[in-house]
Amino acid sequence: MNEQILSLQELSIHYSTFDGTVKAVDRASLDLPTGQVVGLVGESGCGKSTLGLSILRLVRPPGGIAGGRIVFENDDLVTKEENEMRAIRGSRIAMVFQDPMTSLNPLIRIDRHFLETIASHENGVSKSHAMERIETLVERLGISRSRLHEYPHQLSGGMRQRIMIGLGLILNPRLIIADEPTNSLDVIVEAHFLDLLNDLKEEFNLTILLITHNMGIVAELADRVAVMYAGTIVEEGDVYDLFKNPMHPYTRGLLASIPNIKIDQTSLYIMSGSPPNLIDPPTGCSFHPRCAQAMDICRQKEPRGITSDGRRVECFLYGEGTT
Amino acid sequence: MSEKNLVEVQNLKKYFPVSTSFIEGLFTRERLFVRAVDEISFVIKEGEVMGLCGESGCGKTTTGRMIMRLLDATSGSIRFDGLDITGLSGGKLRRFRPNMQMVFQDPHASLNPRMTVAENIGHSLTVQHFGTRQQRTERISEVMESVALTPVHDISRRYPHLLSGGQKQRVVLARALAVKPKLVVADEPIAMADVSVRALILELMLKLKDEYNLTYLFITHDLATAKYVCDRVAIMYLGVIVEIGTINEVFENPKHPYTQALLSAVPVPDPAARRQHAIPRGEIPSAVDPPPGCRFHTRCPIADDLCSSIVPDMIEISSTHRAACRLIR
Repeated sequence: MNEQILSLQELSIHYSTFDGTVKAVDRASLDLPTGQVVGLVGESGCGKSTLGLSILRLVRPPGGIAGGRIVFENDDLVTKEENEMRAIRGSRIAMVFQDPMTSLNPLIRIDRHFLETIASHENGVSKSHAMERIETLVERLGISRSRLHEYPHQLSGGMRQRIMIGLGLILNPRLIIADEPTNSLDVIVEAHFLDLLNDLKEEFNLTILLITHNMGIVAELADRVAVMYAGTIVEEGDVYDLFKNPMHPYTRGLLASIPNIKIDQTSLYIMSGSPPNLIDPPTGCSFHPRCAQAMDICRQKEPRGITSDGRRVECFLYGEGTT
Repeated sequence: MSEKNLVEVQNLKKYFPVSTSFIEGLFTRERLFVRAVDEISFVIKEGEVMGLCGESGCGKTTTGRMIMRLLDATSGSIRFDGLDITGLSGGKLRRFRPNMQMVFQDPHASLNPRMTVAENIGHSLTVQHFGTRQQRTERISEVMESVALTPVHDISRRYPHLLSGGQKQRVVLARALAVKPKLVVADEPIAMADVSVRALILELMLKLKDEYNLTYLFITHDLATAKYVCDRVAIMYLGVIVEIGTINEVFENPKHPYTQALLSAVPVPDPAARRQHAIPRGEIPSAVDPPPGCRFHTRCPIADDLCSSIVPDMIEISSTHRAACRLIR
């Protein structure tokens, strides 16, 4: 089970704008072990959604992959032709977006969403056969098959989000990229959805890349966590280790700044400053202007390839790294 | 925190009529209403942070807006410092307004993009005919300094789009404070903010509360935040308050099954504390046709046959802690 289903190697995604090049993702490396949930956390604008989209090669111009490899089942997706990518999207790697209301077509019934997805990827499936598959799946997601004849607006928010995951699962993908899947849901519905995702992971032998800004959701569901800041993955490791012993100053600050319902906190940590402009990021470590422990080397060199205690931490506090 | 009640809400109700098409209107007599808030009573004590929590659609925002007199109550009363403000209108209402101010969820949308920071903050002062121009300028710098929007002379001339999200929310706070309110109603003030900015705003709000002797009504769906900032909390479900008490009482010893469900569903940023037990199924029913009896009985894990017919009374658990459930032992 230690095999990687997906491996991002030094992946860079740049957007060209009139003001300059935005390095939305800057040489990010990340491994997704088969059958695990990897949480990718970060604040808005850190590049986590761009990274998720890039795996399916869905980053639109002026953005594009500027370097690196996306190795999926020993195949580099960066070099694939568009028609080859189309065969992978949906059927082998599926994406679940954050807002089900804008991702579902309000003018067509739920069952047609499924039928179209099947028809566009599989040839010669009879409608009755397809409907059977759809009904089984939808009932597994806790939605009665009679609801398939309804339009998206007739379903509740939680049901719509379950339909979204159903659309992702209908072609039996190996990998699911879920971008803030519970953002529009209330806590109780969110908890159900996370439970469901966890069950589905086992049943369908899925690997999930869970993109979120919510540390609580990652702690609840993920096996591994990657923390992203200003386009770089600054820390990556096992979920239990990382929460117990956050090493990168950004991760530590982030964890200390969020209210935790299980403990009595007397004050929250306030991180100074705000995330940098990615057109003109700070030299050296992009976190150094906000870092209380910044040293001279942090202003001069970018921390790269630093590992400590089986964890990747891009921080000079833990060594010199490879560059 | 004093024992004086700053705000007293009595049997407050807000029904919104459901718009039906003209044709439908011809054939039906019955008018339908969304019962957004259905007879709630609570007090806000002077100097406290009162939390109003619940899922979306529970009526927490409507309650806040009625207290602010941005919405007219369908029935019931709101007393502020002993004065019944439910029916105030015109000049009387305008002269009363400086007593309470609101902070909205989206700082970007609540600032006028064509006004500078100083103009945005000073607008309420102008509307309220506060002092001379000189005094207004002084007041603007004063509040900007207390929310740490410094250097004042530089930031006050900027337009909102040049500010970061955290700075914008501070402008909104400064604007609310400029007219020296007693009560600030904050409706999800950090929901739009980034994780690293949230702590800053919460800490700032707590600091300002002490500095300006403020009372907060803090409306949020985020229970972890409520636990951190509030002194007392009311949990709302489908337009009614199901449980109310001090933070410790409600969070450490929740009595209502809904509160219990809500608390157990909150994701905890600690994998060692992963949720073990199941939570009730289903979603919040429609407020147009709320379930009879106890409104939570359709999702309640412990409901019995009577719950669908008997509307539960508020049961006193301690002098400060009450919950609306028949089955509390």
